[in-house]
Amino acid sequence: MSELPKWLIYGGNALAVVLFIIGLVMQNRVPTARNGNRLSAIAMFIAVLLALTEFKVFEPWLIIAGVLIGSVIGLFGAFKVKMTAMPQMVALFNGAGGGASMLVSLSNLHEKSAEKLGELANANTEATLSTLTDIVMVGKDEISIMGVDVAITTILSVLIGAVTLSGSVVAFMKLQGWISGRPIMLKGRHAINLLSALIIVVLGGLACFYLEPPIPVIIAFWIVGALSLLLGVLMVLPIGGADMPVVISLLNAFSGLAAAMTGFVLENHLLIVVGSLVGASGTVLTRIMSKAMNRSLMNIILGGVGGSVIKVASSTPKAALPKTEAQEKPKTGIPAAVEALKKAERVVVVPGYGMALAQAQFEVVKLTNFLEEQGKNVVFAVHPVAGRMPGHMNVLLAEAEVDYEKLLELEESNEEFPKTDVVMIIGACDVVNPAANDPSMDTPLSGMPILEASKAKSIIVCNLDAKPGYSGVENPLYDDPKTMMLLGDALATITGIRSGLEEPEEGAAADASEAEEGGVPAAVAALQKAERVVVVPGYGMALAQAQFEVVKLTNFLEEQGKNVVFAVHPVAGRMPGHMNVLLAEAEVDYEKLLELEESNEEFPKTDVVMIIGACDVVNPAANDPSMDTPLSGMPILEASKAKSIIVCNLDARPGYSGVENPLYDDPKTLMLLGDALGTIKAIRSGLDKPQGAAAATQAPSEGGIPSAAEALKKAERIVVVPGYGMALAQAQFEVIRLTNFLESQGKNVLFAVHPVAGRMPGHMNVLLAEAEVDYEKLLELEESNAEFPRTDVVMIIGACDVVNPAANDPTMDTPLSGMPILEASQAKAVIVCNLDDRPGYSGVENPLYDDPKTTMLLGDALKTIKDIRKALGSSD
Amino acid sequence: MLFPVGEAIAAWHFWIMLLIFIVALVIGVFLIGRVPPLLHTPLMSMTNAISGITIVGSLVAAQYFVPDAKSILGFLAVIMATINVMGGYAVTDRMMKMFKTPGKAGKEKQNE
Repeated sequence: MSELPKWLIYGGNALAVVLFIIGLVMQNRVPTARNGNRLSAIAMFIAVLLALTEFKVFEPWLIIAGVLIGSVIGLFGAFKVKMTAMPQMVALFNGAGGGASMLVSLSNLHEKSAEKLGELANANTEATLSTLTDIVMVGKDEISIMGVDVAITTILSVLIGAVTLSGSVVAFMKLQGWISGRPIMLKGRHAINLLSALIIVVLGGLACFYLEPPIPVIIAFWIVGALSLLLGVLMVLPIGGADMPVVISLLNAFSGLAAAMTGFVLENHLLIVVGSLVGASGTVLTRIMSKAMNRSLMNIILGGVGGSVIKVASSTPKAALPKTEAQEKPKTGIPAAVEALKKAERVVVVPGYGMALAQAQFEVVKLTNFLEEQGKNVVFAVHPVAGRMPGHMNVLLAEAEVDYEKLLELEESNEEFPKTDVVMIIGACDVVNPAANDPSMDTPLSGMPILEASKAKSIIVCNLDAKPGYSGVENPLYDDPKTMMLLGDALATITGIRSGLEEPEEGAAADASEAEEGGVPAAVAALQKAERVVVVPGYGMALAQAQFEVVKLTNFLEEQGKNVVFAVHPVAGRMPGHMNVLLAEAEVDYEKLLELEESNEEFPKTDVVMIIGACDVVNPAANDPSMDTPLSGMPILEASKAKSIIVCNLDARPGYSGVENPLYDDPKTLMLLGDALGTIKAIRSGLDKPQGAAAATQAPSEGGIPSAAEALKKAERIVVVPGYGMALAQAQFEVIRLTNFLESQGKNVLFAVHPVAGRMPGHMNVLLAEAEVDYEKLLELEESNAEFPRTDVVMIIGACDVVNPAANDPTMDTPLSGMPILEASQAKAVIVCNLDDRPGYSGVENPLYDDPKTTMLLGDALKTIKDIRKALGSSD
Repeated sequence: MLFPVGEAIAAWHFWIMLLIFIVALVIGVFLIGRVPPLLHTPLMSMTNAISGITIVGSLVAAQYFVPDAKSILGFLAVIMATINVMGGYAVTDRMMKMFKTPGKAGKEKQNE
């Protein structure tokens, strides 16, 4: 096995390195990227084969088992993961790589120490020397497990590998939602970090300079590994969701560096080279990402951004609005409560012992589920002493199957209340009694931490009576003007509210859709008028899984001849290029994805910007020099420069940065709050309907040849698609007369030639050449399809199957399916000069014929073309 | 080892490795800076798979079928590195497949 000549091994390794580098170079362009990836995989395969040939004894059972297990897990993950879950999958794979590097180094350490122990058992131990000077004098190899250089790189490899592993696992859990995506700030984490780092340095130093006896050295290295795992966890925990692109890039760099360090340990040049390539790549990406977020790496690692809400001056009217509404309303009974809940966006429920007594928990949860279905945000504020045992309310709510993430503790609740529209207090009294916080009163409650429900915009109290609670202290909250008192059995009250919400819910749904009618129809109208539309996708689009619906909408808009592009902010989403992947999944042509600078050049020319689930990346506050916010100076997508803006976000709350978005209050902005998926669908169906009407109104005016002539007169870019029908009608000369005439009018005329148009390869080219058409005007398939979106009028002359858009419709299974076609349907208007409107050779009906923008001129093509030319005013 | 290391240069070996490391870093920085943002996710996913090169080391560690610490650690390393390599390349390929040139969209569908 081991008898490969040296030069072959060196050459093979060199080849692998070259292939890895070429693979990276091929990432520069989309068309070569996929093959670059494959080349890289081949390089990896070569490297593995070469490693196997160097074995002296070959007992591959562990290797075979390991590779099988790893392949199954890796491939299963790779093929099963949804595109939206890509960041966490990449993080997991990355963690596995870092972990492997750590394990390899530890394994090497065990091997070396086992060898040394064997030697020590044989040798005369007196001859061994133990002081630093002796080691230096005698030479490391005679006494220590390994050289100092190897010891240092082993420590680095274990440290970086372990941080990569545990950090990636935490990042995975955050992205997967297993733990909160918000920054988690453990108390004293800085102290723990510092202490761990110190211990690692000390142990590492000791291990380096006293590399024997082996056993304590091994223990020291394992402690370094364990502490490094802890460091990884503590590093990623305080980092919030939107900073994930930076973290994932950084972990990517780490996994490469860990591999490079392992290369030092094993004295393997391949590992060093390839590992540092990855390390460099990850570092560059990290820099790009943190630049795009306008944060220093240190700032992100220290974490904690996204905790507090920073108010921007212009936001005050918005905040005041619901309040005044709530105050003006007559606050009587259930209808008022129903009304308040309908308008509310953020609802907090405060359960108390009264809920337990009334056995109302299931009814409460039914109500809150209903509210959530309406797109409202509902959480529960649980006071530590609510009820009769620690965590009593938690148990009751868990019984009613409330997601435990919705149960807020005291501090979290009190942060929530000022942002809350409606607080529902159900059978609780003392725990929400503001008298506890009033320093002027001396009551049994004074100083007790309470749920500060009084800070919410309005309050609904569902208690049995208005009497004081257990403490005997009157509750001033009950007299607050913004409080609605619904006294009586909580069960009955809640049921009443829910049925109140549900019944007029039909009405309210109508109401809501009316209110939205201000929204969606206005958006539809704006889009109908628009010519240039830019879509700004954000993480919200990923969450709502709305990318396919968005692309359906944009495809529809493009069919209407509008220009639609996507503006992708470098840090939109949760990893570098996240939005690009999602849009690619939905089959958006990548040429339509604009980068930051391109987008900002585009916006001033844009009629409508659609923002879908993005906030911070379009927040103009970032550019306002008078404001000092976490966003200040961050490069943003300047959507505010467009003529009008449609925002399809879940809510109007600030994004991850906590900075209110003044764009939302811009008079040219249409806010369509709620689930983006639903909103986009509504817009599309709104666009579809009047489209039919428009087509109907257009139809009568389309009096055949005059309207075709009219269309040609206005057109600037015309493409002619010739087919076998032209050959049959011998119309090519007449066609050329027409196109020459059009060109004399200053119009640009080209011919789109499908490779199989006609009855032999290049049939149409021959016919057109015969009619003396310059061959430079004959476009091939790809060129033609690039041309159509810019084309004003496409003239189809005796062609059918080669322009049949059914070929591209994945939902249809026809003989044409998958055939590359001339996408004439992308042009602004289509004129069909065919003998009849029957399907072509394939027998597949052509939906293009029914397109509202198509003018059908049936009959002999020769005559039709002649008539068009005359209608245009050309004499013979 | 990529290059033959004779006795004479053995003492320099560590420094040679360090030099290789730094040169590779520089090449990496140069290469990655040219990749368009459009491809950042697949790029990251691919370099992530490449970092599984540590599989080479793990194979060495797991070459003997003996139940000692070294081999068990090596075995675990083989599993993790293989997850990294196989999963990484497969998921990258899956992503890149979706980036289609406008003209080729039809052909790709035909091929699949």
